[in-house]
Amino acid sequence: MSENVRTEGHFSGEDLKAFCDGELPWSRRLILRRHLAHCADCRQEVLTMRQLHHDLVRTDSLPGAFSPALRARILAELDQAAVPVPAQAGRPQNHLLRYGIAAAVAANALLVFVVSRSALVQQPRQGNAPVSAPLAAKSGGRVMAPAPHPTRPRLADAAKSRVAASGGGTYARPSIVNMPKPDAQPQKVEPITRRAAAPTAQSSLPANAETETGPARSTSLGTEQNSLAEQVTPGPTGGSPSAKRPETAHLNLSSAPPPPPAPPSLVPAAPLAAPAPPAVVGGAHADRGAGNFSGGGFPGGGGGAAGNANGVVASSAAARPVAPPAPPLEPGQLQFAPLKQDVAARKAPPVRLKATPPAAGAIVFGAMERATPELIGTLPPPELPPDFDHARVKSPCVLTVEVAADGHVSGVRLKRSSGSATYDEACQAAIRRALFQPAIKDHTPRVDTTEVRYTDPS
Amino acid sequence: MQNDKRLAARVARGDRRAFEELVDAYGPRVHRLVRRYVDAPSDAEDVTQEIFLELYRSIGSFRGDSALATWVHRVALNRCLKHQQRRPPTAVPYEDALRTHPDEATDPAHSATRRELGDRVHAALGCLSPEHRDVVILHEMQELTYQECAQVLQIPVGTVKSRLFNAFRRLRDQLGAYVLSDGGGDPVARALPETTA
Repeated sequence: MSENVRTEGHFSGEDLKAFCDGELPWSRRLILRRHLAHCADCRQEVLTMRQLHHDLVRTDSLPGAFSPALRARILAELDQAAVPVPAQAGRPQNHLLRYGIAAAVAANALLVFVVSRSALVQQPRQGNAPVSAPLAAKSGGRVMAPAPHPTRPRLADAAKSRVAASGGGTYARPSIVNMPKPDAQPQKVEPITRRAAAPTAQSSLPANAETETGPARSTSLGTEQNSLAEQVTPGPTGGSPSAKRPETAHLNLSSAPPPPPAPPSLVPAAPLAAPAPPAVVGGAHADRGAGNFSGGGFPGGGGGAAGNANGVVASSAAARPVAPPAPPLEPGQLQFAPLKQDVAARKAPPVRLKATPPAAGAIVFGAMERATPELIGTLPPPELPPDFDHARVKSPCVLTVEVAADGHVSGVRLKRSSGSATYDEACQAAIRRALFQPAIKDHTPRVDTTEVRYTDPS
Repeated sequence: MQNDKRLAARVARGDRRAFEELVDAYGPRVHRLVRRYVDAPSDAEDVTQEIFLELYRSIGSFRGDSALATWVHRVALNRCLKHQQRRPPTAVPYEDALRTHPDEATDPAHSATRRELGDRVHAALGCLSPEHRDVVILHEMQELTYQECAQVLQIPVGTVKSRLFNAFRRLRDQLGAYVLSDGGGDPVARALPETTA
């Protein structure tokens, strides 16, 4: 077959070069080999590349090979070198830590998924977000709705709360956890309002509040406030209500038997530091991420419940550093688990940025980057004796100067002698008086070396 | 890779013998790389010495993610480029120019031809852009693979591939007469040497 016959389109030059270098995948290499057998142009290109490669390799023996003398120099320099930076043993551990964190996050996500799935199975109709009145009425207040953001207040929720408080709507708790069963009976799925509205001995809600909200209402604000009043009542041990702040959307589906009932106590053990008015408290509460419980939405008719809600928020703000154990729960009592990030924020020490002030006299340049130190001004002249014989200076004196981060010379090493020891010493003494602009890397002045060459003008 | 990490760990512990192994393993290659960037042989020796000093000081930062050769080349190339930035190319000192290649003593004619071609190649390399020159030196002369070149230069492998081809095209334009006049025999066999083997 003629060389000019082209069986396929030409291969790109990059592929031909990769073929010459053996960097082409074997499948493409086979195709290219078949193509080269018929395509003279590509074949010539390959030949040229091979020849050029051969010439490059052949002429790569420049004079000045790595000599034994150079090797000895390097090893001799090793004696004066600083101790090498020790190997960072933490690196592999960092990898392990990284993988461990990733695995923990994945396991946590899986656990949350499983828990939420089981929650849906066990309590399929338990709503945790405001729902519209028609929907709630149609399904008996058990319409599932997407949960609001646990840490972001929603104005619409507050508005719905107000509407619900005035009897015009329904309300579903956004974060209900640990609803212990009064006995060991299998968990019975029932509307939240019935569980929350169950009268308990600890309830501080006036009877008229229950009546006002109406027991027939599926998920009313009155029952919500009732449950809120229950859960903010501190125990006799002085437990702070902050431990039970309603700030979460997590579901605690613990099926453990309920703890022993706590003695009825409606009075907080610790006086509230600065009780705020309900409107302000409601705003602060909304800031905490549970705007659904806005105290500002409580009209005067719900004074008892509003007062309790007020106490919750104010005491949670005042008693934040103190987190005594929560009192045992009553059957049918609601408990709110704190947010994980909030717990972590309470435990973790405050992060403070460490700013290292520059040393006195340091020259710091804002956003500049400087690869090597640069001399400021001119080289200080070497102080030579009057009777110095300049003829003894055969070549420039080359010094390796180590410049500290503040621009001062921190070390001088003679790299190449001038032929005169007196001149070399004078140069070394002179360069120590010089001031440099330090090398800057990552906006930080660093210690670095530079070379200085002294040439005798005479 | 494990040997690399072991050697680096020994050097980091201050094992002088390990450092000697490192110098013996990479000294010629590093010096050859330096000679491509530093004209004067005496300066090249200084730069090589500085490179190994830097390798010794910073061996702790070698994590073993890549081959030790790649890391060594990365450090060496950085130092060479730093040297170029610090000091523009200067004339070769007279005593350096007088140094003769070992081959010249045995075969002056061959050495002259080779030296002429070497000068041509050196001049052609000088005509390349720094990016193309780096990749040609690393791949063709330092015999690094595309992947290693990409790691040293911190660019994608595809970029290495294209830069190499473009560099070769320019080199062919520069050295066309020298390259195309060479060779002989069956072009198919020369283009596909493995088929004849």
